[in-house]
Amino acid sequence: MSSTTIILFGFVGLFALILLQVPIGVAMMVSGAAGFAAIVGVQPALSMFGGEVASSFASADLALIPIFLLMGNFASAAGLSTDLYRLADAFVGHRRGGLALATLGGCAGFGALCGSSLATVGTMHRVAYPEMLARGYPPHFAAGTIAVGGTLGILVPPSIILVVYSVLAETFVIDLYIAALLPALMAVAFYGAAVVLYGMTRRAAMPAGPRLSGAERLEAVRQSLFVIALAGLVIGGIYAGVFTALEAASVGAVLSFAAYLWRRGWRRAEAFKLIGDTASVTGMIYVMVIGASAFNYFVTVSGVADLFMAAVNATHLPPWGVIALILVVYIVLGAFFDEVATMLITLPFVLPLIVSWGYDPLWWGIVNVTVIMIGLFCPPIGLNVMVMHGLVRDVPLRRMYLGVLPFLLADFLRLGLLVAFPLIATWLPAALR
Amino acid sequence: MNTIDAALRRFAYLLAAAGLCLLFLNAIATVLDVLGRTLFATPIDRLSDVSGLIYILAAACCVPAATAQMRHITIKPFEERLAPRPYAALEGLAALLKLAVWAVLAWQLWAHAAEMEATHQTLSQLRGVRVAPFWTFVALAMSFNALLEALNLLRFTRVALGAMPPDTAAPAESAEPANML
Amino acid sequence: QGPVTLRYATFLPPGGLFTKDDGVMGRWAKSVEEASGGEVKIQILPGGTLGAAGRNPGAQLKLVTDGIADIAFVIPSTTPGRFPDDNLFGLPVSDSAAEGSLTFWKLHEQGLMRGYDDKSFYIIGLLVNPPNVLHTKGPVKKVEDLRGLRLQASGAEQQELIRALGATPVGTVSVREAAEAISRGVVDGTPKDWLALHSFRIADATAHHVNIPMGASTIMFALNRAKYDSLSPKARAAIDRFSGEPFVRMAGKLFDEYTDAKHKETVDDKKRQVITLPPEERARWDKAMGTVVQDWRQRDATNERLWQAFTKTRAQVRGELGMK
Ligand code: NA
Ligand code: NA
Repeated sequence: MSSTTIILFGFVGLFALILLQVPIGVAMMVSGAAGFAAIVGVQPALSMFGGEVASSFASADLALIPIFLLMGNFASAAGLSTDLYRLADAFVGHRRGGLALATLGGCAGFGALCGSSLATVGTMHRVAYPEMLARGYPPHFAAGTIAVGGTLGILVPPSIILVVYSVLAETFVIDLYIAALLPALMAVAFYGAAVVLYGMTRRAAMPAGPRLSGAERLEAVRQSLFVIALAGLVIGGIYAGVFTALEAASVGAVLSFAAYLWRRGWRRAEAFKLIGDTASVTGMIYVMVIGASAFNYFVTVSGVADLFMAAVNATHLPPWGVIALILVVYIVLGAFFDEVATMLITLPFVLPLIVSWGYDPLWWGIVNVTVIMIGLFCPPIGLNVMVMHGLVRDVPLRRMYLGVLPFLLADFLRLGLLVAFPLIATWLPAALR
Repeated sequence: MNTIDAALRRFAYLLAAAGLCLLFLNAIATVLDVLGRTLFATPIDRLSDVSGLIYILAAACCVPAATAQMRHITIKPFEERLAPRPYAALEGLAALLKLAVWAVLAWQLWAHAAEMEATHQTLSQLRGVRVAPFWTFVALAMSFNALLEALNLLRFTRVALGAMPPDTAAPAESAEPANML
Repeated sequence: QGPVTLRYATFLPPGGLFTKDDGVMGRWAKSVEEASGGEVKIQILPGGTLGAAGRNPGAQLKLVTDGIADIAFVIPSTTPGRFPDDNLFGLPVSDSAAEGSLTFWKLHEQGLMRGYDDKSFYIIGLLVNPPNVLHTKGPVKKVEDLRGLRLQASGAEQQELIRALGATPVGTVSVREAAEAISRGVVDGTPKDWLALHSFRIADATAHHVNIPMGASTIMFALNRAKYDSLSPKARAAIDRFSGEPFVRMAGKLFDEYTDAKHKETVDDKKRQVITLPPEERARWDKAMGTVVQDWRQRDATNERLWQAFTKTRAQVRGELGMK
């Protein structure tokens, strides 16, 4: 068989398996190993599995994931999101759309304790949704704000998806976290601007809350001292240099657990459920990463990257044109496939192309996360919107997508700026080096 | 049959809890190491050796939990398009493939453990500690993972054959969203 | 039938001494390809393109013995226990890559290095890195300056040397994380050779360098044995001709040349302070580290036997290379 035939079979097989409802990680393992076996041999392909699993299990970088998950789950169960929400509300609640702004602020703050977007949606929904309804926000807009704010969970460090990217793209996770900082601030600002602009057109829908006195604000700060200290310690510890990423995660996990014990006491059933969730998500991610690695073997020995690069160069398109095309494909595929799977499958041949044009892999990581964020609430299938719909059954899905529309525009603008000015992501890591 | 199924799934939970507790204890040790190192210039010697082992054990303990709860990232184009029994047959087919993959993984990890034993590999600082037994534990955990998938396969087969109601095919936890995002 | 391709896959980045075309493996590949009359072709795949195992230094030998890659850059200390005698070179006992590597090879030929008689791989060559020297963020001029400093350290010998000098070894920070950890103040410095100082970007985080040998690590280039056996006699002869001692001599010399160039570059850099300790101060450092050597020799009888053979072989190598 020629290598082009093997490549064709490999990719067709991969997509066929995924469509037959085989988990994406397993589909990548099977097609990757089959392709590798066709080129190198069956025995090496078999023992590749042992080596891949052993190396992934032993990876200190991947071990960050269960620790971050523990930290996020305990922080959520401890109700730390409430403190952050109240704090943000105390300072911006009196503006038009203030409670929506506070929700976004709470999401960003909670994102500093939690590496997952779904968990951020889950925990912020409990706090913010009832309050926004009580103050007269339209339900679809309230739900949309939370679904969108939740995406900050994967951009504001720590972030599970950034850990996975750092492992597969071989970049330092701390560098990635630093690279994510300005884009995260930008995301919060743009979402905030979307709220304010939307509020100008729908004045009745965005009531302002009462203005709090200085003493009341001080009280809100006092109430949230612990959570500020925790987020500050974890993020500040990473940036200012007391710990490594793993040490920061450990400190965060231990303190979140302490907060959980302090606030809720020891509840065996609940703790057991948190642990079960953490374990299954961890196991799921390891399977995904092992699958991506196995597929990577096949991509490497088959020379797909070279073929892809040659094909792209033959089009004579400028780099930005190709990048725009790739991003459009990612977003369109995200509508019926899955952004993360798309990123993982294409990374071994797209990243070398991006790097060959002199772009920084850190920047591509942030671009990828931004695309994933858009995919999380972009119709027709946005995971965060679906989850939010599951939590608030009374808002129809169609209305809910209407609620995220202003934010969608903000995100497309942000993605465009990030692509046009890679410095937004690469400047800070370079400056701090 | 159902009692065995429930007991093994329960055991997957216990295993995961044990692995994560180990990881959590390691996190506490890491915090103490940071404090000792920065405040008293006395880090915990050889912690990196022990941590390295704990990462391996914790990861191995978590994989069966995902299988027990049927939580893997899967795109489900047929979920609402097929009748329950043909759908269960399709899920059974996927489970069969997963079972084959987990079995190969377990088999290769046994081989890995045997190689560690044959080449006398130890920890890097605690040179008296052989790593082979720990890898044997990993191979056991992955074999258990394959066993759990066999149980999943059995459930789907029974649903497909009409011996079990469709709504009992998946454990309750798998209905909740689980995603790396 | 076209040439047989041997895949040399490594986690090392492209463009380095062990991956570039005019580097160690590039030269070896060119010689072997020519001598085989085009029967073998060596493909260099740098940058850990083979999955998680490809990026895991400890998995490199397994990649070769399992036939996933044909040739690998192996750091024997990453599979502790498998090559138990390599830790000898973790002590401050060799002054250059040429000297250390040739000594290592001759000890192997005498059958004294356990683990290398394994028949599942063919040894292209064995190397000892140029000695590690101390790189720190702040100035260090005498042994007392080390008190209270935290130094990133990999391997038990390096940690003991650091402890013997009065500093605190930090093993929870990996080599890959060392630069970050120093620039952030998690640790204050690390012992590395002059090449690693730059390739791991530790130079970005340190400005003070003490030219004191503090041990080294070993390297093996391994080739899958079954693959080697399957080659034609002509191809095998080509590999034999440039492997073993010829490889060790070529690689050791090149390693030292690269290291010297990087050393000179570092000395010439006005922003850096490279110091060589005055003799009486140097003696104090050597005395402190000497206790670690003593401990190692006394640990078991095998160590002492190896030590005796080692000092004899090293003297012979030093004589041959025209060293002191
Ligand atoms: Na986050
Ligand atoms: Na989507």
